[in-house]
Amino acid sequence: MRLVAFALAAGVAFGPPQTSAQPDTCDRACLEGFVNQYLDALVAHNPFGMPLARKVKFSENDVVLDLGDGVWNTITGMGTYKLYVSDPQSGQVGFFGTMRENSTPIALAARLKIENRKITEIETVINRGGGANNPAQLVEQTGQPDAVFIETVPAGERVSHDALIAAANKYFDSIEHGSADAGAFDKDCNRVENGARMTNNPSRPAAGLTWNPWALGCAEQINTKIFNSYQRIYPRRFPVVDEERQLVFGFFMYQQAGDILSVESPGHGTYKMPDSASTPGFTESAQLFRIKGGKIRKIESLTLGIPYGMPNPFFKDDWRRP
Amino acid sequence: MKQFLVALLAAGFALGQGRGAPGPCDRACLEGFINSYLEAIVAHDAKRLQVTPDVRFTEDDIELKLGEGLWKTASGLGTYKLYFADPPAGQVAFYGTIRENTRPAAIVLRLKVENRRISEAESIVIRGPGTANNLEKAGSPDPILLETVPLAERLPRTELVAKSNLYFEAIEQGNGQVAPFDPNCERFENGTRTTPKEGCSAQLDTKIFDYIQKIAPRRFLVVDEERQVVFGFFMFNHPGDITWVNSPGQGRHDMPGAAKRPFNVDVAEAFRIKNGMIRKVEALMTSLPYGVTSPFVPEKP
Repeated sequence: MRLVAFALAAGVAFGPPQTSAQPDTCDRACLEGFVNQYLDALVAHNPFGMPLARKVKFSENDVVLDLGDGVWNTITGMGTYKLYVSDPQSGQVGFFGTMRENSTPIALAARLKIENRKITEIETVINRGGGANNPAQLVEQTGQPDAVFIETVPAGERVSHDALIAAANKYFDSIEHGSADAGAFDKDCNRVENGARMTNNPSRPAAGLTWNPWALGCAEQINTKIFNSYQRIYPRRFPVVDEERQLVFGFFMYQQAGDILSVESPGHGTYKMPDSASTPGFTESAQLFRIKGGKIRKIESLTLGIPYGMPNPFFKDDWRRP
Repeated sequence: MKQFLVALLAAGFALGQGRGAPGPCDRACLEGFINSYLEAIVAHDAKRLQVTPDVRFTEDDIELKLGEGLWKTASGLGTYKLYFADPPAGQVAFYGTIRENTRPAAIVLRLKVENRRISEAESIVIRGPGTANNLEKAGSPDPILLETVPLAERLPRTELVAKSNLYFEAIEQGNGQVAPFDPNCERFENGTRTTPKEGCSAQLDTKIFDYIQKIAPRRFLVVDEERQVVFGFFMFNHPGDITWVNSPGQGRHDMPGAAKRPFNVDVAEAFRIKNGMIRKVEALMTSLPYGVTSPFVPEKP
């Protein structure tokens, strides 16, 4: 009986007996190795040298493509930024990085799912720029990943897998409510989006405003309600939890119906939403949270606008949250 | 009795329809459905539309529920209106301008009407002021898209479609000779003329469009026989891996940066066929993520 309890605690499922040939868990080095193989394969335009499961599901910007299509045809080189998030328990690994596509810098977020040392899923978000700022160039200007994303947290300071997800999830609840849960954010919290620092950054211009929301911290900024045009953030998928580093990586769909054009911002009067908020749209966000003492210490994201209502192919339910 | 039946059939009444059953929906009827739809969308009230129980609605190739998307943001009608009507197929399409939260936008709308109820509403919304302003500045549609062609000069619908289809073959092959272009052929995209004075055919011969590797699906949905116009939605697939081309007589032509990445463009395109040739191409289009297809096309197994 004790054996059963131990087996359950260890996560061993009942069912067919596992043989000694069963590969070991894919640990951090193994998972990061898969990412590196994947990046090399992209540059080589050849996915088929990688260890692939019989059926691999590959998506680029929420469209399922044949493996070898899309970005596989256009990559011409590696970039300089690489940030890995490993979850040996779930066999999943997240990645933020930069690459070259026909010589132009592009920013890539990827998630690989590994089962029995074979790739079963590749989910990617690629922001190719095109606007005034190329996210990949901004990301590369930041240099290397923030040290808070790569430090091993002493076991005594860690919160559990579920507590990590709950802590990250509060960020989305706060945005939806236009009201930050003060206890959810570390006093040093900062957010970087598409390579641009979005908090505690008074040098970021705030055109047309007599105050600067970008000069505020994570919680204060949400409390201004300037993000209220995102009425829903759903689905929220937290597939990669790096307990050692206290990180949560996932994909989150910001839904904007386009019908919230202004908001009363406490202390600032009426805030007129930017023009971009006046049309229906989804924003797919690959987002990484560093949780410190159960609070959000740092957020890094790569986002991409996609048509309103576009479903994420790895989410089976309706995007209209019940 | 026989005379009466013949008269009924000539009027388009199908046998078996009960008393009070609606007659065929002619041009005026089809255009009326477009107008009612636009009024309903501005009123944010989908319930006022007569729809079938299983009506389908898409915006920018995403299937939504009537009432979502532009239904929440449309704030007024614009001034540009161009209709294509196909009474035998019960389909009608529209290019026009609207206001979205007071800003100009262009819309492509296709409705399928069955028994005087809308069963399909397919739309592309081209946001940003450029296209809408171009169309409104033009004022009214090119008369060549509106004229009733004498019966004797008309081609049957299958030929109209076949000739339009050759346009896409010509693009895919980078060869203007493949399609029957009128010497005065011109193409407008999002309200801007995009053909040079040398014409449609010569432009394709330059191969500058070779980055458009596949145009599929090609859906020819509205054939306006009276006006000899074919309208449909055509998905332009750009894998992004043809970065330059050897243009005959011109030498190396580097593709623009926007063509050197994977992306799709859904093109709503109308062809005026005149004397068996493509005389005018009028297109409205929007970019989409690479690989997106139309929800009206069955998925690959």
